[in-house]
Amino acid sequence: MGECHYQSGNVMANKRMTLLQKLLEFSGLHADRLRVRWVSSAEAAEYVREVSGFVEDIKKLGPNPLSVKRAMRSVRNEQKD
Amino acid sequence: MSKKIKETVRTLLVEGKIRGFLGLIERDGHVMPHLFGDPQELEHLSLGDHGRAGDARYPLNQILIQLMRAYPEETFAVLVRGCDERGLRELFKWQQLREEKVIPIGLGCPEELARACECEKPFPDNLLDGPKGEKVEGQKVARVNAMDIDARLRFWKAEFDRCIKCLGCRNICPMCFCKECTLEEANLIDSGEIPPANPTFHLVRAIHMVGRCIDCGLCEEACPADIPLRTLYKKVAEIVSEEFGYKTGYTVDEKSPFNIIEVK
Repeated sequence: MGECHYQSGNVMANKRMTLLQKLLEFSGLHADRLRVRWVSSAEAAEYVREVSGFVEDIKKLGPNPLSVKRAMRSVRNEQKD
Repeated sequence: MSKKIKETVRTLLVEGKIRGFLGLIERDGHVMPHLFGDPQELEHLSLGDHGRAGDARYPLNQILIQLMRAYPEETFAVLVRGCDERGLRELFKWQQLREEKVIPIGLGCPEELARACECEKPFPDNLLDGPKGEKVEGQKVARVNAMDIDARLRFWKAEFDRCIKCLGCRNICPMCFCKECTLEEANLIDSGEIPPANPTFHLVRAIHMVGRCIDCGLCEEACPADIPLRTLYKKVAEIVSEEFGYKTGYTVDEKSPFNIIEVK
């Protein structure tokens, strides 16, 4: 932390992420849907590992309950029935 | 109850210590903000109680900002409750008002109002009149905290779905002083859409209230759709207090953790 190109940029970002995660939780969305990790541009393998891990975890949580597309699809299906 | 306040303001006006007193006046059965320049007008002074305690409050600090932009060299007195005093402190820090040009006239809130507000500190430190009430333990946030996560989502979705995007919550806010507002930025918030993006629209405002919201509750009073905005902003205050140890408006020298640029 604090080794950002924008100096304290990641320190500030980290505060916002903490706040947003708590606020999402309060709004009814799992905080795990938002994740922040610090990976340098020289750490490609770690970047891949982080993103893959996130995708895996997010799949376990299931689709976004606020997805507009999904809501539209279910409306269409109801109309068909 | 207003006797002490009237006397103090009258003295300030007569001695020429202030250009005016920004308070509330009752005229033709209506309570409205007023800049008292003449001591004789003080007989119509109102403290914001009309039908119920504190049911005719206005964002006086917002008007004060406009006044002081127009008359930067003048000194004004302003009626403040506990929340307004917290607001003044933050507005000094944000350099929207100059402390040496503002004389707060402190009014404590009656228990009835403090309870309705679930107010943590229903009196200003600079208390001139009114009671020095006790802290009220809040239930609003606790009730939502107690729901399971899916119930919370349903709760907020239903509340935010009633939003007609009138921007009344922002317009009445004494702490909203930005010249450009994210809520009107077409690249971030779609225009012509009602309700506005749910819950993004309200969460954006909630995030922007960090280190600003002083829990006056005017947003919730102004909301024509009865959205429990205060519960949302009280939660933001709870998070900022628990995670970062900052309580908005309670100190004069400390800045919001979201305003401090930490260089290590």
